[in-house]
Amino acid sequence: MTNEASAALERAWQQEWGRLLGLLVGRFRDVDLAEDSLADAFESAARTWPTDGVPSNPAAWLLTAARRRALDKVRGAETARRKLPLLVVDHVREEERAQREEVVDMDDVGDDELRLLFLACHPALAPESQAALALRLVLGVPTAEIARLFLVTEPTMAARITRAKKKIATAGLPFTLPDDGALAGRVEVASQAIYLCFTAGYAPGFGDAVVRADLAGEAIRLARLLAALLERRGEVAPAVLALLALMVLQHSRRDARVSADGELVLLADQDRSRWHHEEISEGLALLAALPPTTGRAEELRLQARIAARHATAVHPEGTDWSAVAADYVRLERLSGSPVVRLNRAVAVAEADGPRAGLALLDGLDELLPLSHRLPAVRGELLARAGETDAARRQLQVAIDRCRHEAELAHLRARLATL
Amino acid sequence: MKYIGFLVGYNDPDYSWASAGEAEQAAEMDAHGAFTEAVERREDSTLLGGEALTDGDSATVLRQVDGDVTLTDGPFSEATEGIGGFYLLDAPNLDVAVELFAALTPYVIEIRPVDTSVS
Repeated sequence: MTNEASAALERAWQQEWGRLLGLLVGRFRDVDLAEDSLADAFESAARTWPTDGVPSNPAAWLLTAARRRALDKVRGAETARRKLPLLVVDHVREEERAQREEVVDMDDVGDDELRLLFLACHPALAPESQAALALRLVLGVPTAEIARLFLVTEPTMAARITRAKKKIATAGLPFTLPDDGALAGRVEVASQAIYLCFTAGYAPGFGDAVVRADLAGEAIRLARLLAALLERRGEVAPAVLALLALMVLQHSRRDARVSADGELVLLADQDRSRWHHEEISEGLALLAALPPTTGRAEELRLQARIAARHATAVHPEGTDWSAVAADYVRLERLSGSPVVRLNRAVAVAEADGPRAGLALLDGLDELLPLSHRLPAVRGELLARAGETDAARRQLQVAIDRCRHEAELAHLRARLATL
Repeated sequence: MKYIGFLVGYNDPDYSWASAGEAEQAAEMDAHGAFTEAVERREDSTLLGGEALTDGDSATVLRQVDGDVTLTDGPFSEATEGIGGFYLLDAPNLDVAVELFAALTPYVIEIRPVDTSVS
């Protein structure tokens, strides 16, 4: 394939997949049919663009090809065997869609893309299915790739996606925008699915990769899209913007988190020149525009603020640990999470010494019985307080519990220094 | 689409009809009234039916193997023992069904679409 054609195709896949699929799902009310037809259109483009040249409007070309393919399938024998009911769409929209049949105004389809995201992240679907479906339907990530990102086998992921798509059709999940009253709840569910993608990429529970930056990057794309689509409709979504700020700030450190030999590099030891400073600027700007709020949005905003305090410290010693600890106090009050308490203890230890941090760990053991981070933090703080024997015992507990290679290497190295 | 809502239990695990006071029982009945009215207010939805059920002690399970009918006393499973009643609702999609069933505030409800591919 010519470079020009393959670049145009790649760009169309990256930028237009969700919008095109949204249009097709709205028109044909069948997710499988829409997906198959769009994939066929891309295949056909891969065959013809190199010889015929890249069309002036690649998206319109793909949409026309996909529609033609879908109509063929509808008329053909394939749908005679179909067992699943058609997707529910609102009637007004159907008329609009019929009129739009010949007009391809790609700027006008943001709502269909948003419908697609809300369909993928419907609360009647399991959270892990929501995340996978969002990647697949909205970003066009192939199943094999989603399986790799979530560290499951391809048949497992394929089964999960098939089951979710079947439920969409049989249970009558609508391809509509939620009512004003329901919108906030649906945005919340979608945000959680996006955050699930992000955390799965950022802190894998096992295996040897420290950061799977590609999955975290896809989560950021989804959040950007959700924020932009909501803004387009005049909706204010502070939780989505706070989530985006948090993810952008965390993700800006990805290259510095891993050493040349693939080992985890702690925040204090990271080469800060390898942080993506333009992303930090973006995250700070997003955060600056967010006033204090309540609930989940405030939790995300506080987390983003903490990430910002780290991101703006030129040296580790320059970190304002007292301010970080104060943010954690508010975050702990809101979330009641023992993990937040653990992080707060780390910040307090930096600000006021290891003994102050250790005191905050009391009572956490029964709340985090399987955590390797709790004994790891306790071991580190005991070591700093000069209690070497107790520190060794705690680090050994952490090593026994930890399943993440890079973190294990770090814990073993720390134990060896004592 | 047709949805059946099985009232599989109470949101308050300590509540039961038998042990409830008159006021509590009246509040439970009011929820059914609120549900019926909510369905009537929507032009796109219809209540097709619904009944309260006697408890699992009066259930009988019928099985047939090679033409032999056998009956067993009691419900098929623990879950069915808890089903206190059901509603059959016609609604345009799951979101509407959820919105309407949510008027039945006391209950945990399993919502199942009717399988139209077999009828």
